[in-house]
Amino acid sequence: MNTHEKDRESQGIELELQQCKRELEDTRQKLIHQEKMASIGEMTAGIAHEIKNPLNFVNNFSKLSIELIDDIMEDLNSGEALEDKLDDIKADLEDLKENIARIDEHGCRADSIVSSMLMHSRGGSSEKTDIDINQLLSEYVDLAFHGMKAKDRSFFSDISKEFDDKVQPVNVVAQDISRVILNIVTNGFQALRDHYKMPKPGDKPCLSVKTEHRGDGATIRISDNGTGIPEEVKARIFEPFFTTKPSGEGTGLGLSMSRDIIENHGGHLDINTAEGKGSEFQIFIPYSKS
Amino acid sequence: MKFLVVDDEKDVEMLFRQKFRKELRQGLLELEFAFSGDEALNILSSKQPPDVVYIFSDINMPGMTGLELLNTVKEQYPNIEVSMISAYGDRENYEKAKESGAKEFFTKPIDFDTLKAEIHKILEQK
Repeated sequence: MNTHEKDRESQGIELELQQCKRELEDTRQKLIHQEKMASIGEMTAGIAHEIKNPLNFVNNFSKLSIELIDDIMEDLNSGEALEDKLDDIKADLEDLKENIARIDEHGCRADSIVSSMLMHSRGGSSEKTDIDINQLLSEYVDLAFHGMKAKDRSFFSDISKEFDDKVQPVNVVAQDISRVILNIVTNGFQALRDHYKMPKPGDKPCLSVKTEHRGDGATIRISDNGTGIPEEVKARIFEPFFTTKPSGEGTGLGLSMSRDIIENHGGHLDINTAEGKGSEFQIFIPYSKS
Repeated sequence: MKFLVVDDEKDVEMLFRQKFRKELRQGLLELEFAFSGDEALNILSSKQPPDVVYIFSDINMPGMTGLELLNTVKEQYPNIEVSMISAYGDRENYEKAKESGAKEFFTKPIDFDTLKAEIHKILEQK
């Protein structure tokens, strides 16, 4: 083979390599997309329930407000001395004010749920913003819970939330961090579901989330008293495509992507677990240096 | 006549108080509220015999579920009627509740007109 032929051959190999790289990158993007879609599916049912709840309050408080106004009108038109009715009217007006405050509050609750869903599903918004990690954690635990509940109506778990007020806002890609939380919390609920299939006297399923201000960043702890993870599985849980779940329930990408996301934010994701005792995931996110 | 409402959503109390404001003003009924199954059992055990005649309980609550509360009440105070209110109007919970002796099964969102009819039925009976 002369130099010319050699060059041509290596060019060919180079082209093939580039082609391979492109295909790999394509596949990677497709998988990331798939994992994201899977987590959105996970969330949809939870969101539906979470929105329905405040909407019911909005509807009920609105109906009651109309009744109160009818009562007030009736009192005003009764022809009796207004002084005798004044106390009733005042009480009704107080209630009316309370009701409208409730309608506003529950309306905002529904609105913030829709906003966080949009944030999660919107492809492009990969910009970092300052977010309140306590609020994000609280919302996503509720979403994951209702998502589980929608799939398995008999599922139940206590949820304990302990938020450190000293935790400062973190500058992160909110949709990425919410995916990590959703993923780990859903894993926790699944471990609880499996562990408490048979009731255990004196023991109740509980998922607890906790935040701590740590000087240079915030720590999130997500723990469950479920199945726990055996040593040989624990060694592999952060490997891409590694899963112990039945097919259809997990892509095997959740935890490896979660770790990538947290490390891309300069933080770390660790686990403490004991088979039969439960697991605790710790996420550390540093505050941005300004 | 005293009714006990058990639900972990605190705004449920406001809904009930307003919906039954006329009955409350006229003294036809009394309402008491508990935000968990444990709190409900404490209220019941604070008076011997308890003055509560009827309980409306949510099913999905943290801690003791409404179905567990139903079983305990039926065991300890068989004279108290218990009706369930649940967001998940599914067969499974419905059947479990009926088997355990629940009087009625209401689904959320609460239709206050049906609930009012039930309460008036009880008021007329006594």
